[in-house]
Amino acid sequence: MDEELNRIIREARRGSKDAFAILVHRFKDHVYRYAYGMIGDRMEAEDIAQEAFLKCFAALPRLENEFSFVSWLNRIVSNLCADRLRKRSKERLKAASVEALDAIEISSAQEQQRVRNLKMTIEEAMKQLSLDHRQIILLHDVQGFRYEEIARMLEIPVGTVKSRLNSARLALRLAMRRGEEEE
Amino acid sequence: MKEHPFEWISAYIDEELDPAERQRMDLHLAQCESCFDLVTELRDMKNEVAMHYERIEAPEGMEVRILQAVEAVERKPSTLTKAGSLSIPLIGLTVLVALSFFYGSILVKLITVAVKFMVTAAYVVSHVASSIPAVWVTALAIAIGISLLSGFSLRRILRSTTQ
Repeated sequence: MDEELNRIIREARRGSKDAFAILVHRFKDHVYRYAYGMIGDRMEAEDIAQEAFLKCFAALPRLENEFSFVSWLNRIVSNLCADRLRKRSKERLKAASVEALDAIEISSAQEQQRVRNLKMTIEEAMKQLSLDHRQIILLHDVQGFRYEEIARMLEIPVGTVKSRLNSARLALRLAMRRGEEEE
Repeated sequence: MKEHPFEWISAYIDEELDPAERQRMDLHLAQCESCFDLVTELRDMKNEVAMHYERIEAPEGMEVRILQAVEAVERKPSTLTKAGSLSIPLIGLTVLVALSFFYGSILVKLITVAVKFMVTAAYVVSHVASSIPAVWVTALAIAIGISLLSGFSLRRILRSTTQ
């Protein structure tokens, strides 16, 4: 991380709004991209990105050192995405419980038809993955974190990062192949 | 390396293997066509994923909306406005005065009964506690346990919200 960025982070920590604006400008795509990758919806991703920067602004004075800023910011977005996904799955469960069984069957048949008709893109294949797999692919291949950084961020051993990323890539490859076969 | 080292393939692509492991992997790939093909396929997929998401950019205007939201939060007083901080105790006081005016006699009776009850309860509890030490030792231990538990959970809640 360059010295200029560290200086900006230090100023933002002291409460400079101009410095914070530079940080928003510099990391907006980074934050949005991760949220979009995890959630798969542009509106919700923007909501999360906005909330992440608000939390970041409020908590910046408590950041221990500027070197860890990027992974710290990513952890904020990651927690927000996890909260949103938890909420979403609860809502889905609730909705499913009130719907009649035949309605669910019809909608799932329509969904299957829709999936068959669509070309399986990277995003669709990513949606087939578990949250852990999706997260690790985004952190490494999209956000560019190294294994050790991911291990610190997720509080897991480096060996787990290695094996999780490996199985995530194999799962993604399988999902993309399945998509090609269904075309 | 006779077996296919599937678990090393990603780390090999990402250059996260140590030199010895990397050398063994290079040797294996030189002999094993299926692993070589898998490495190539996964490497292409990794680049494809990176390129796909690289094209995704934050929507136009998001930056401005974020800075406006920060400004709005900054402008908003942290707890209550000056008027609010005065009006709330005033409303409370008015309600208290009104209550004591309308139900004054009943309130006095209720308070007297409650005080009498509490005095009796305190007398009984102290009597029981002094005669059976096991009771108050247990009660004290439970009270300390509950205080510690609530302290830890409060600390955890505060920590998770700051992250």
